[in-house]
Amino acid sequence: MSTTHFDKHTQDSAAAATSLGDGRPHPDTRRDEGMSAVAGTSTWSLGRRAFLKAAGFSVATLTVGCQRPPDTEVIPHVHLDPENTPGVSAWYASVCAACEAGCGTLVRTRDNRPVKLEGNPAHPVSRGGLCAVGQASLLGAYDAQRLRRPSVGGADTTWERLDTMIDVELAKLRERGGVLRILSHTVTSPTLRARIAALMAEHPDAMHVEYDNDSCSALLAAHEQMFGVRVIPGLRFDRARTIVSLNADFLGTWISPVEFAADWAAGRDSDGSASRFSWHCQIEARMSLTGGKADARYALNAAQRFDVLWHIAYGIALRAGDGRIHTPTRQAPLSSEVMERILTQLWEGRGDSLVLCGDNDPDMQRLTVAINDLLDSYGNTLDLARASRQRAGNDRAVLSLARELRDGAVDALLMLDCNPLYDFPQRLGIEHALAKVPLSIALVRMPNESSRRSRVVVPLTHALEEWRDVESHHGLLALAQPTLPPEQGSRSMLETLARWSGSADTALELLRARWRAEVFPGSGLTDFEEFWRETVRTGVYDARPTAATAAMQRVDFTTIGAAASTRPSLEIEVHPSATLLDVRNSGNAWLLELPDPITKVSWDNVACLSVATASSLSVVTGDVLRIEVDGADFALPALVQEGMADNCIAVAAGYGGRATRRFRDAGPSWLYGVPSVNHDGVVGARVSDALLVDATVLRASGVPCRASATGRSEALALAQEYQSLHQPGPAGDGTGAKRPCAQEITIAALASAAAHGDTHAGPHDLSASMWPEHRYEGYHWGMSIDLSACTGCNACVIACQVENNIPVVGKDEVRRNRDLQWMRVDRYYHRDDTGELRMIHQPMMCQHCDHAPCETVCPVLATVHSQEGLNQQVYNRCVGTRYCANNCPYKVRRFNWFDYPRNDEENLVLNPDVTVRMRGVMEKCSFCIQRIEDARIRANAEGRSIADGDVLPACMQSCPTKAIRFGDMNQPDSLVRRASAGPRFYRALEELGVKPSVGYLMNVRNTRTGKTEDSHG
Amino acid sequence: MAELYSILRSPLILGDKSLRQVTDDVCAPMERGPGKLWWIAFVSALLLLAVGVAAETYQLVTGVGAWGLNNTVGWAFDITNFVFWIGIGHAGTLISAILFLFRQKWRTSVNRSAEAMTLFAVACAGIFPIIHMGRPWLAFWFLPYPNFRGPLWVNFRSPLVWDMFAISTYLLISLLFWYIGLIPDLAAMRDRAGTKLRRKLAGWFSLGWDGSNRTWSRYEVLYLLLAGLATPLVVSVHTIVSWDFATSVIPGWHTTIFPPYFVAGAVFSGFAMVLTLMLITRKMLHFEDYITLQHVEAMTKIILATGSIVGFAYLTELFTAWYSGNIYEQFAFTNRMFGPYAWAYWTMISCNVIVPQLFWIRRIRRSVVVVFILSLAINVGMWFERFVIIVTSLTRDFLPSSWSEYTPTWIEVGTFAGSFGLFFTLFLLFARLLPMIAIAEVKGVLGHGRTVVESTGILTRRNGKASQPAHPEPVAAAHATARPQ
Repeated sequence: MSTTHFDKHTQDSAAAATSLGDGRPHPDTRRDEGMSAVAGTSTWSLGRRAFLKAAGFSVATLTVGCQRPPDTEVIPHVHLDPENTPGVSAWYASVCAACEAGCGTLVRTRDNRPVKLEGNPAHPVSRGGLCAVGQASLLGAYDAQRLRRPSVGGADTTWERLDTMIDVELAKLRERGGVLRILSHTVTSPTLRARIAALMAEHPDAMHVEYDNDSCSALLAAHEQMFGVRVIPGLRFDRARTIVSLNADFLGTWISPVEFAADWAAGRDSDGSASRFSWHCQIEARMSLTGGKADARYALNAAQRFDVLWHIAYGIALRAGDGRIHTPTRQAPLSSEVMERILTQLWEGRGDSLVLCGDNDPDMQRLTVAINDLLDSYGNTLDLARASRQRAGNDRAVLSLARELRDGAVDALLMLDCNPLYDFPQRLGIEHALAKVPLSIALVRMPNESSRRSRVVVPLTHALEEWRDVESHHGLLALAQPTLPPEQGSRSMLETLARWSGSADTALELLRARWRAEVFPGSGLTDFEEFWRETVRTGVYDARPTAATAAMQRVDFTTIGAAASTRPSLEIEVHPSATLLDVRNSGNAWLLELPDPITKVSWDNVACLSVATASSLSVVTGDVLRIEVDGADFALPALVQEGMADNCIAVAAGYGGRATRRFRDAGPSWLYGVPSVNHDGVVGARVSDALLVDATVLRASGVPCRASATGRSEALALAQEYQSLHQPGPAGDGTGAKRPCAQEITIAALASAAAHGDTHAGPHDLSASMWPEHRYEGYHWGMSIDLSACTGCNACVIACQVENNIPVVGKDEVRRNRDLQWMRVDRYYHRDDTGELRMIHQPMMCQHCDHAPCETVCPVLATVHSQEGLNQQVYNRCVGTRYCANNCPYKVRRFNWFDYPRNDEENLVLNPDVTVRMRGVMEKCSFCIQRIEDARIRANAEGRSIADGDVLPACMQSCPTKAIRFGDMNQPDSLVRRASAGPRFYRALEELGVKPSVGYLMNVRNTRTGKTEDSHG
Repeated sequence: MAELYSILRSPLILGDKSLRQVTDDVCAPMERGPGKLWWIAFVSALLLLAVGVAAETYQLVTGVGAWGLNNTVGWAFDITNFVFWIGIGHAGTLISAILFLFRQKWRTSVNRSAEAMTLFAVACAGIFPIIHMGRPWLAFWFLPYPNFRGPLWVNFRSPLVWDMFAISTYLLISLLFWYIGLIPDLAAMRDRAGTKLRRKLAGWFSLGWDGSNRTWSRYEVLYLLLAGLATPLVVSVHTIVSWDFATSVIPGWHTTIFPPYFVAGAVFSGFAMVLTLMLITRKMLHFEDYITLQHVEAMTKIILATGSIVGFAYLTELFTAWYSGNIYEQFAFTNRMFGPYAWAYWTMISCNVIVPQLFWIRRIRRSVVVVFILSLAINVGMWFERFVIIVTSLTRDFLPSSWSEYTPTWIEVGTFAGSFGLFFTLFLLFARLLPMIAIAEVKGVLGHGRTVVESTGILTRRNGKASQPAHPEPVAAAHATARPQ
């Protein structure tokens, strides 16, 4: 048997497997044929010729003996991979490549076809969770628009000709001593980094420039300046008792949100003692997911944030008796009580405090480092030994590369899966300068802005098609194996770079060589094959670095404050889109349709404004604003957003890329149908021009801008039209009575409720019922959702969409409130008892009511109650009266208003366990009944009953903070049963008597004001 | 068996009609052939119907998405139109059955048209529950027919199934009732028929009516029985339709007063529609002597009564919501009054509460033009009542996150217009093909053959020619006597 190239992630996978190809692209492989056979579609209707061919081949193999099919046959037609039983899922460990966070994933394949990405529970970054973007990246593997062959000067060519040409060009460059520049996002793969280094080593003037769309350049620079190492320390939110975050949206998009959200939730023990519950203060200009979850939140714009940070630094330094921080020259923009509270919390909890800054501002980052140092955070809540490798972008290098490009000094530019023409503001002049580069090479999967201006375009494999390694944190290595044969005519970046630097090795060989030399010796094992196989199987290897001690240098802070003294009358802030992250994902229909968790806008980015700013610009939601930044301008619809700082516009980056042009015809075509793109032919607008080119950084916040109404207006695709938990009152929207569907409790109230043994009960006895109760003899499935742990990140929504084959309906249909997602995350604003603005997210799906209002009204019995408490929808019995949806108090039923078009790639990604629905049929959350049945089959096979944790619905599985729990409510010690016992438990709209099977745990806010209160909390 | 006849009461039929004249007058429109106005009206109705057919075809081909509905608002124009038309259909049965049992003789001038209107309205109504389905080709699954799927029955707990039974029963009884009432008149048509085809058709449909004593006696018994059967249906149909809403959990729907409130509303809207149609018919077909101001007044009084019930029901709803202390209920009604669809609510209140109160004024009751305009307003108001109940309740129910709005598409408007097209097409055909006034019944109230109670002094004029008929049978038979077959 050959090496196990394709290792199942199962506990008993010691059994070796046959080769599924060696990862090398094979031009002969007829991908289409192979795939259709695997997909079990048309090819199975064997024609005579096909049958004879197959029969002949079978007979031949049987008679000839143990002759292996040729290696080029990646997935042979007649001989399916013995490891994969048709109809049974296999799981492979991999690493997510949607961003640089490097979450470990498990790839679920069915019949050799990846159909779902889930977080790898064994991987310390993802711990089983995976964000929406990561999960949706699956769709990209099947994208019909992927490049299939390299091209030079716009003309297609073969790999042989391309490689020869590049060899010649690079040799000429080498001889001349020409300038080679390699541009990429942060490279987290050590093997790839080694290959890049090898390529550069051959050239006298070569440089590798890394950048990040959400740049942390200043943060890295501050650590470089003060510790001598250019790293981002590992952030330990689980250990932090006081978190003060300035504009760092660590639960939303910042660096590694899946990891941070899990840690952050672990640091807030809602059901235990209040002393293990962190106090989180967020100071930001725009409303972010992180701000929404914070215990205290202050909306301040960039210059004000600077002042706050300075005051914090000064205050902490005073307490520490350190004289390095100069007295702030300006008043703090927050009241002295608030400042005092922040300082007290930080100082009294020093060692357990954590101050973060998300602004790409060198001064602010240096102040943050100083504060954290004074608070003794390094070594406690900040881990330099386990430093993060997820960001390495250097804005200064980018700026100097741009200068070189403008000067025409670059002879060869290699762009590794990046899109500088989109990502950087036009005023850097890269677009124009690129034409001057004699050899511009773009390695891309799909054509983008930059590849269109490059001389050579080289197709890349999708992350699911290649061998890769990732070092997301110092010493934390992960391996990704291919789960899909490479798209015909594409080659992995590692192999391409190796080929161009003189190595003909495959990616697998390169990885194994490097791991054998660099990683294996530290493992203490003797057999490399065993080490390798185990690492491929688990997907992760932790080299556990020894703690590095770094001494902070003494730095003079006297210059701080001068730079930030400009206070623009109107500023703009560019943040990564919470749904797209960046332009690399903008060709993904799932993500474009996913509503932004804050604004609830899908298929668009918007200019968020506070009420006051909107009225000063005299615009309302939907009015198109023209925004001008340093000579460049773009237009975006305005959206009046709660919690925005005044005089600030917040815009999400990642939209308006060329990749979105394809969505013109997304969604059903009918009389009133409107394309999902705007009048420019793209989805949303590119806002990279709002980045300010500073001396050393590209600033994304506090950028001066001008804005004016264009007079045009657009209807936004809002997935939620009413925003407040308060119903409309006489004084306007959001001033009336508060609805109790999404509930919050302060930590003090929770403590007293726990002390008195209270469980949540309303004023009335809600158990009275005129209906006979259902009796559940076997299982009784139920779910509980912890609103305190829920960050509103949307991972569950995408998990559900992928798992349950939910079609994309397009912008116009979302605008018409006809989205099909079974799961939604409701986002409400409300005012708490003290009048503070609060944001709360509530995942909402079918509540599987015992006395389901939908069940009684269906005339044809298309929705019925199961013996295990599920509310089941029988698609083929449904006639589509929509009475059930009308009568659903939670409005979670979704109707197929049309037959929604699916293109080929969406068909390949369909989950074979879930049927697709035709028009005129109602559908809704099924509690992932296919997963329940799968667990039942496994349990039956093993002669036992389904254990707690055997059934993981897609939403629960994907949740980074484990906010969703599912299980058998008949089982006394099941997680879901235990969750329903505490004082935080309630059921939404309990008073209706519909007896939902889904319960919620109230969101907890830490309102403690000082240390003293903790003791009795 | 001579009935008493008071000359102090103003006569029901004006113009000192002889029995022959009645037959001539009522049959005239059928026999003189359509005029220009009729053609204009008919072509317009057909065009409207064509619009509806086109809109509906488009919707069937494309999907229910062609309507402006959404995840939150699953019903809007479709069910609004359904309830609206069912409501219209109520006056016919009420007039023919209940007023018959209560011996309201004035009903004879309008009952035929009202019953026809009922049938056409129910036909229009019946379309909507079918086309509103996502998969209308499976509509037969509503029927509890024996099958090989288990057998799989319908859900007898679902009000939609009750609806199906209620409406099909109603349609059947109304059709029978209407047809039975038509038989003597069909016989009269047969006897007067100018063409062979007409004679043949009328002869076939009159089931060999011979006007004999026995025929009349059987006929009257059957008519009485059917009236008795139809009477509970007047109450049941709209009660059951109201259960579509009353048995749900949606605030604004979940209300126990719906059954009486809906029945009153249905009678209210039905009479408004009868008035609208009768006032046009009266003018166009010169039936002023048959449909007199007295008839108009009687109907306005019913409208006034039912309209007041409806108004009271609106107030009761508000009181109940306030008194319930339930924030969802309370909000449902404040939202109706002040929310995004407040205009619809206030249209409804103006048309259904304020307008009928004008009928306290006798001069208004007797002004044909004003009554006509007000009847139109009530029709509009009652359509909006259903729209308000259905749409505003659905748009904002329990979870604010799912609140939405609803705007109809032209496809929906077209379908609604098409239902009017169908209604008027049928009604105009009816006006040309069948006697619009029940000839036999009208003759019964002329006063022929009745003993005149002479009063002192004020006897001035008598209706009819005071001759005692030789035979004791109702006079209508005189014209229906034919060759015994």
